[in-house]
Amino acid sequence: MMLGAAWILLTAAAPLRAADELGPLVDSYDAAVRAFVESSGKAGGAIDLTKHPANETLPQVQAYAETHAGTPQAMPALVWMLKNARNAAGIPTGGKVAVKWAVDRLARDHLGDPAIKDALALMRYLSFQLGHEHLMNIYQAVTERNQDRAVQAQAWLYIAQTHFVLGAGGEGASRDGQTPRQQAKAILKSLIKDYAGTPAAEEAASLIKTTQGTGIGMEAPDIVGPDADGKEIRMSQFHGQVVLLHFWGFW
Amino acid sequence: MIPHEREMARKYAGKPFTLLGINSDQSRSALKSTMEKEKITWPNIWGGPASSNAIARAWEVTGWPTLFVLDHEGIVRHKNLRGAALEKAIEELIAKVPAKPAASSQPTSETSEGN
Repeated sequence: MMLGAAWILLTAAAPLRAADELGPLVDSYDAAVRAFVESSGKAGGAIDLTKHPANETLPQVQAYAETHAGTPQAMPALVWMLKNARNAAGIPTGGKVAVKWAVDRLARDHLGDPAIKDALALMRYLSFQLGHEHLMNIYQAVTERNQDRAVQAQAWLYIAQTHFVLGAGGEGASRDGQTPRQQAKAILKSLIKDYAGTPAAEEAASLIKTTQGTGIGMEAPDIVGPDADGKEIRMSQFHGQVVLLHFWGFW
Repeated sequence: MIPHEREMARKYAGKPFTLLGINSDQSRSALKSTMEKEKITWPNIWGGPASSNAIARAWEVTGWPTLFVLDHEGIVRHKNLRGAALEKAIEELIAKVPAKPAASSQPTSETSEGN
């Protein structure tokens, strides 16, 4: 298979061409993408990804990441790969192998690097390719290995969001009798408390508000309102009792 | 509907059970007179007319009456059970409430689940 052979040749040759600096490589890629999009537009709008500049740049960036493996310099190259590899449709596997390679490197070498922040944000969108379980393991490892508080908080946020995704799809095993939604909420609550002041904790606070709901198995949001005499009643007053909630009226 | 609610309020009196009404009458005074007329003794929150009842909206209630059963931990367990099935579900949940000395209606502190 010709294309497969070309890919092997590229990867084999790539280390020899590893750029000294990532910046110029990425800059020239950005310029090439602009030119590519413009010429595609002129050619009638159809974009042929097999001719996308990513096909050429991806092996070079990967080679750069390999040359600097295990050092902070590899990080921006790996982030670049997560962001751009999917455009390399001319490479058999459509860049998927490269994405997986980058994620493996991140998990192997960079769990403790504060700069993993950007990579984590991108990985979320690769869940269908990489699998929720795999990503959850990485997030979990970040919470354990990364010393940066904001990064830990961010990883917890993504863990909670993944539980929500699993819960919405009806997947995800109940653990300790908790549904994925309940696990997600418990994580968000701890996150808000333990990581107060981080951007992820703020996002968690707004997330928990929008996910208040009333589905079976979910924690009921509190209800507050006046009784017939105007005295305030809260449903949470009755916590610890079975509550029959009766929506009714005559009108 | 109301006679069955009244009967359940009586039947489960003294148990760790509360009937809580969320009312959609036009006004609080309309609720007050209904409560007197129908001998409604359990707590009721007036949520405003059905069209603008924010509590009903938050609970995605689109038909009245709508019933939810919550367990003692505040987890929604059942929706729109009626009659004998409703009583059976309530009794099962009451049986799961951990026994504690004199169930107080006022929690001493907000217990957080944490993880």
